[in-house]
Amino acid sequence: MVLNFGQLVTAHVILATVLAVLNLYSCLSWRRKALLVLLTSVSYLVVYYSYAPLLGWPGTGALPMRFNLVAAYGQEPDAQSGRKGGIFFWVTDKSSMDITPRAYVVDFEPELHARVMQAMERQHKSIPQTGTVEQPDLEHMGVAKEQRQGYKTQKFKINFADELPESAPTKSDLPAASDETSPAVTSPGADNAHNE
Amino acid sequence: MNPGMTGIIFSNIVLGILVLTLVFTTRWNAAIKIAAMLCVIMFYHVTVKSYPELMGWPTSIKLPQRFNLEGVLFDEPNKSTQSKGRIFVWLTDLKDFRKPVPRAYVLPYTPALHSKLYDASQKLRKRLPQLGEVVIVRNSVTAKEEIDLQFFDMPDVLLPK
Repeated sequence: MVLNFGQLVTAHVILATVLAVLNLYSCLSWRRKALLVLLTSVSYLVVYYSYAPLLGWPGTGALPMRFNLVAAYGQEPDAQSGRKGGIFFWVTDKSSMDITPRAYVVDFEPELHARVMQAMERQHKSIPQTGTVEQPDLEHMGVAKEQRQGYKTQKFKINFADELPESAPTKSDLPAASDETSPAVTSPGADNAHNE
Repeated sequence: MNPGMTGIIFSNIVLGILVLTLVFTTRWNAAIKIAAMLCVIMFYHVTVKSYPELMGWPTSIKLPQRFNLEGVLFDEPNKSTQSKGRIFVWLTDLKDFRKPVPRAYVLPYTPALHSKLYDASQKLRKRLPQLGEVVIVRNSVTAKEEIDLQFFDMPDVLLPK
């Protein structure tokens, strides 16, 4: 079960309140009981304000199978400073109607970095880029089923391609008697979002 | 450590203290004590599982004072869906210049902000890195404090002779 920010805070508050109420019937002195109630109340505020600083940072989870590249940022490893480096992606999931972009980070690989920079070059020329994640066939690679869970995005191949505009319907796709009253053709993906 | 993570660890320790107090200092039925322990363990498990799912989504907290703009995405207001619109920005804090990690933010949509960010994004396309600065201005109509952004072209790096 996975909860969102609001659900986690609510679950914490409910659980802590129930436990604090049950503890009121303990053999502790009233001072200690008061301290427990105070600690519980403080924890409500702390948990509420703790999730916001965690948001916004890139996640290490797997990228969506098909995504729109909004922006990317490469950070090369630096042995001198001990910096591990990474490739950061800011993408929107193509399988979802939600256009909220999400940030991901994968390990730095020179080959992937070159591909990402090439995709960004084309993006800067106003050619939207679609990314696809190719899963390796781990069964054929002789990787045991138990070990496959550990394979994250960086073990997958990320490809980029120009996003092709949706083709306009041909004459045969249109209703027969709609010549005069045909509605304006809109693509289903054409929402009011656009990236720069 | 991220202060958010410290806060979450603290609040989970409080839950642990509460359940231990319940187990060792009360005379409740053993079934209640076991149920309480299971609930807390399950909550810990759910928190750990949910954490990666929270990562990467934009935050609505205030932007860093000075930043390097990496990307912008506009979600314009839409009357048909009654959406007020949002502006997503992806940026690195200039304070973390040694190890910059971009962070995603969401801002309420305003035409003025859209215009400024659009201009900055056009310059980004021309490979002109954009430095941003947050300026707080008072709206003359509503008298509320609003965020305004100023952008500058990143100055060229001066290499030693």
